[in-house]
Amino acid sequence: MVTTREIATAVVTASLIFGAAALAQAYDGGEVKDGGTISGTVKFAGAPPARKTIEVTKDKEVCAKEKHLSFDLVVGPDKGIENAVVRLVDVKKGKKWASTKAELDQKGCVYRPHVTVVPAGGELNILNSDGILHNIHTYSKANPSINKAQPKFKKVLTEKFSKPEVIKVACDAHAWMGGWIVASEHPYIAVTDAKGAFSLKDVPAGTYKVEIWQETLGKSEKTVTVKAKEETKLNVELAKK
Amino acid sequence: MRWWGRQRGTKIAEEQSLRIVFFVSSMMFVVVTGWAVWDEEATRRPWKEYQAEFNRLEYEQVSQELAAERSKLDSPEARAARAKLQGDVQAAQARLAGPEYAKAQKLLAARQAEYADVSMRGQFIKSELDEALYWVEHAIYEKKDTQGPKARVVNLEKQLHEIMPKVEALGAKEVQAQAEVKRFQADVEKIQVKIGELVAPVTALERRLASIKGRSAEVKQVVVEGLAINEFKEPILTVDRCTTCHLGIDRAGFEQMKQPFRTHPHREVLFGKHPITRFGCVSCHQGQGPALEVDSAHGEVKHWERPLLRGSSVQVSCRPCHVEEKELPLAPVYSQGRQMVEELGCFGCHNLPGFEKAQKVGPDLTRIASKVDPSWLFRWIKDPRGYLPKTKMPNFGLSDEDTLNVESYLLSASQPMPELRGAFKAGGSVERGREIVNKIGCLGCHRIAGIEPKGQPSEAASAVSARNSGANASESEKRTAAVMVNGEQASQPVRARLTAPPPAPENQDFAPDLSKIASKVNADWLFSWVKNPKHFRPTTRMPSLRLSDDEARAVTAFLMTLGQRRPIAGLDQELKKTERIAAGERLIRKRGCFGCHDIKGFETAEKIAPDLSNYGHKRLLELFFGEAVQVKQTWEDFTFWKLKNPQIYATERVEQLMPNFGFTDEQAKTLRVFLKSMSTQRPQAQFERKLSDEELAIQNGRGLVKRYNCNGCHVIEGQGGAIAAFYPDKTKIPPPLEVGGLHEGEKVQATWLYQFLGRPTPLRPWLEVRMPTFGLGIEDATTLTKYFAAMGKQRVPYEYVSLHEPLAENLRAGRLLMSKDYFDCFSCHQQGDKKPEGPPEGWAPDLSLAKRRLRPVWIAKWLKDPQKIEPGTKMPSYYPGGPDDVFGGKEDRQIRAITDYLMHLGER
Repeated sequence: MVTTREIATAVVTASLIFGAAALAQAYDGGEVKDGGTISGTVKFAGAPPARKTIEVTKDKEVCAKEKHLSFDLVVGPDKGIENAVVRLVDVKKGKKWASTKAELDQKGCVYRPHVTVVPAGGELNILNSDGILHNIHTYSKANPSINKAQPKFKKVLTEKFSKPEVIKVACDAHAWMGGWIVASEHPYIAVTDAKGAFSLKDVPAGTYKVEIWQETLGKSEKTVTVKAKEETKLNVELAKK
Repeated sequence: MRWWGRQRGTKIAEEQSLRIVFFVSSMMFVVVTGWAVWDEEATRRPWKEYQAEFNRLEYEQVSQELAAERSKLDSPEARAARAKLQGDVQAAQARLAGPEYAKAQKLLAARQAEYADVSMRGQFIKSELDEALYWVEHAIYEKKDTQGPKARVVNLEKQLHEIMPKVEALGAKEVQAQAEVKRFQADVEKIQVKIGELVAPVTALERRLASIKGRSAEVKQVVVEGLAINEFKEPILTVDRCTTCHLGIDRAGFEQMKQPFRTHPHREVLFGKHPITRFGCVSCHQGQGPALEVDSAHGEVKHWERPLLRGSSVQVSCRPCHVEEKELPLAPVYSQGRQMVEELGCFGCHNLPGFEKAQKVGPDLTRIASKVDPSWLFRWIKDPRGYLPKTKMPNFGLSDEDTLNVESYLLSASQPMPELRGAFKAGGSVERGREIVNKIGCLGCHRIAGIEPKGQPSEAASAVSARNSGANASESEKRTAAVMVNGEQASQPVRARLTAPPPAPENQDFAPDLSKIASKVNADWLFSWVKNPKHFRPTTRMPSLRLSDDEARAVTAFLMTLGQRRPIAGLDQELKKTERIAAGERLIRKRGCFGCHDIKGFETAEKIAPDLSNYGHKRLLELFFGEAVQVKQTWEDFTFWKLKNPQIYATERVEQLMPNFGFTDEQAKTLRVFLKSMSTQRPQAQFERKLSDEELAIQNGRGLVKRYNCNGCHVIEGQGGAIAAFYPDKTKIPPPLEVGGLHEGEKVQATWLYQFLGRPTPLRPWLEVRMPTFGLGIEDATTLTKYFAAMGKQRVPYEYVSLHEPLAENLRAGRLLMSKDYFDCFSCHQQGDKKPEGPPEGWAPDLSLAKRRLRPVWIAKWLKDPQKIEPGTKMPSYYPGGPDDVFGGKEDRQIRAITDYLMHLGER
């Protein structure tokens, strides 16, 4: 009888270990004590190009209330790049996502924010504040592409992106509209502000690869070592390729 | 002799003893008999060993399967299940022996007794009633008083009336009791059946093993009736004994077995339609059916004229019955060879059955002088590939003298076109011309060096194909390609359509490469040609792109910048010599240039080369090998080398006239398979495969799709659309027509398609690429319409869309749904002259055309899920998620309303 029990215990233990191993493949969110911070700025190398003015050709009463400038590369006064995405690449363990939802608004025929971060598998509420016909057309590979109409009467569309991916979103009714949805499985991801600044908090001590991505400048990768309770500076310059 | 004489001498015949002679001869007889039996059994029956080996291999295989099944049956779950069923059986049997069953039986007996009693009484009453009725009739007949008998009848009827319900009730009770008894028995039977099912696989395998052991060696044969024809054209019976050794050929499960035991690689498809009992083996594979030794059965012995067809050459056997079909999925090499013949125009010089009506493949030369530069023409005739490396024009190996002669005849026989002179006025913008050539669609067929696909060509092409046909298409195309390259019929799944897929843009050579066009043609001709190709040559495949004079001038100006003329000094004087003209005419007659080109003076000339309609059966003695001793003396080698080097068999005395096509080894082998199929023997009518109307529509349609290169721009049957690589903006590519869930024939009304093919009208104003006017005749336009209808599973000929009178509320709801407050369809869609806001790139098709163009059923399907029909379309999905305040949010009713409204748009 004793042997049977032993075998049973061993089987249970083994399954627990294997289960844990399977989980370890994906991101494992929990509590982080004594985490460090990565912060810094993303700047443009060289003379920043001026933002192009976009001509609004349609639905002017709604879309042309403000002057439209292109969003593909926004460089601030100190050459800080807005809307660049900074994220850890190979992080397997760390803090839990605080939120499970994100929101993207279509206002004045502009996607606000231009880059929306959404937890992979979480819900993205897409609002239509304009009250005119927009459509959400995504171009993705890992997730299924969607193309859904959002007419006036449809105030909110809720979508899920189950796999981590950088997804382009466009509106076929308003050709100039373009934005990005970044689905991430972990919370160590930031979009730079108008000054190009970002910070990633509560990062467990260790060495990480950090990916910096901007839609026109592409990707670059840095390696950063984070020490407990310390702030690590990371300043990156991106140049036109 | 002396001994024999002494024997005879000493005794008289009766007294002589023949014991020894008798003994010796009888012993010899015994030995010979034994030897004969041994020889018969052991040495002259090689097939017996094959059968024994097959039995052994099958026994092993089945034993393994049996072991696997048994171990499955031995698994704890199976055991538990069986134990449970056994328990159930025992329980049921116990019940059968128990008191309840006895009680039920007793009850049944009691019920039966009761029922018998009552029903007998009923019967008696009925009999008495019959008697009483008789007495009534009797009384009437005898004219006596009928009162007494009648009263008795009434009385008896009353009794019967009373007793009948009782009989019925008791009968029902008896049945019920019987069912109860049966239920006990049925329980046992049911469970036993279940146990049987559980062990059935094992029993079946055990039975198979037993049957393998019980097999005795035997010659297996199939008698095929009527497929073979004798010398007097009479159908005969033939015997195929191939299955004596090829034992697994028609049985699944031997795919991995070594030969000769392997399952036929296309067993399901081929044997499904060609049962072995009706077609045998030799009718396709050839060889010597009745023979039972390996070499002679395969016919690979002396004097057997039809040895086994090995490798892809077996595909030639499909032709006799499938002569109507151009593409046979299971005969890819044959189909490819047929296509090569069609494209290269071999039928211009040779008589080839099936190509009697084919058009000449080369351009019309009756007005060549007004088209080309004489210096270019000289170089072209001498070496066509020097100008166009991919041209199908062969090299005739002419000397300079001969070339000059041919050219001088062609130019002198050319009909002048004075109207061309000065047609092109200088001043066209080269830049604009380049722009037009880039955008308008020329690149669907022509290639121009310097205008390369944007971005990664392969990526663009694969993106299109992936978008259109899912990931597996490219894989199977690769496989098809592999099959072609190997020239072997591998046992892989075969696509329904096997013509090589349209080439990638970098290999596009459907129409001539225009990279050096200015060195060839003159501007006047080019201008008039691009404006209206049919004016110069009514049968050309080149369509009109409806260029305005300005556009045509710009295009001409641009094209005339491509390449440089290289005049040959003194050529004009040479060409004008009359003796050259006459010599040229003789040479053209001899080499048969008119087989591919229209040339004045040769309108009625006969084909110059041998008739190939029975070429596959040419015997060795009919083939002239000349002095080519290096070529092996077989039909296969003769043909291969003739194709590779047509001059190879030429000798001092025997000229060879065939030009050199520069075939690769692979191409020559492919053509050889087709040539092997050339036979005048025809099977009996019942074996001929006739195409149905629909199949014919598809085959003819594919022919036209190929002829006009619709695939250059459109994705059709999941292939083509390579022009997309030239457009970085994917909204500007020509629409796909026939891929995945998208079927043009299901989408549009046939009458509209027919009219559109004849006279295309712009549907998508944002496209710069134009649907050309092909100038299709009634026949071609009908064929294409039928083709698309058949591909879209629509009826051929198409039945006109019958429109019901729509409900007013549907029209109202449709209008409302499409309005700005709801779906706002006209934000992108045009409606006749009402154009949407913004630039045309953002527009969508004109909905006022829908009622004439689209099929209502398709509109509904499209509205339900546009992405499903055309993945990647700009049209967003509105459903699920329609507004709740129209028809209570009911999707189907809303879609119906929109469809109705669209089909009546603009009427009220």
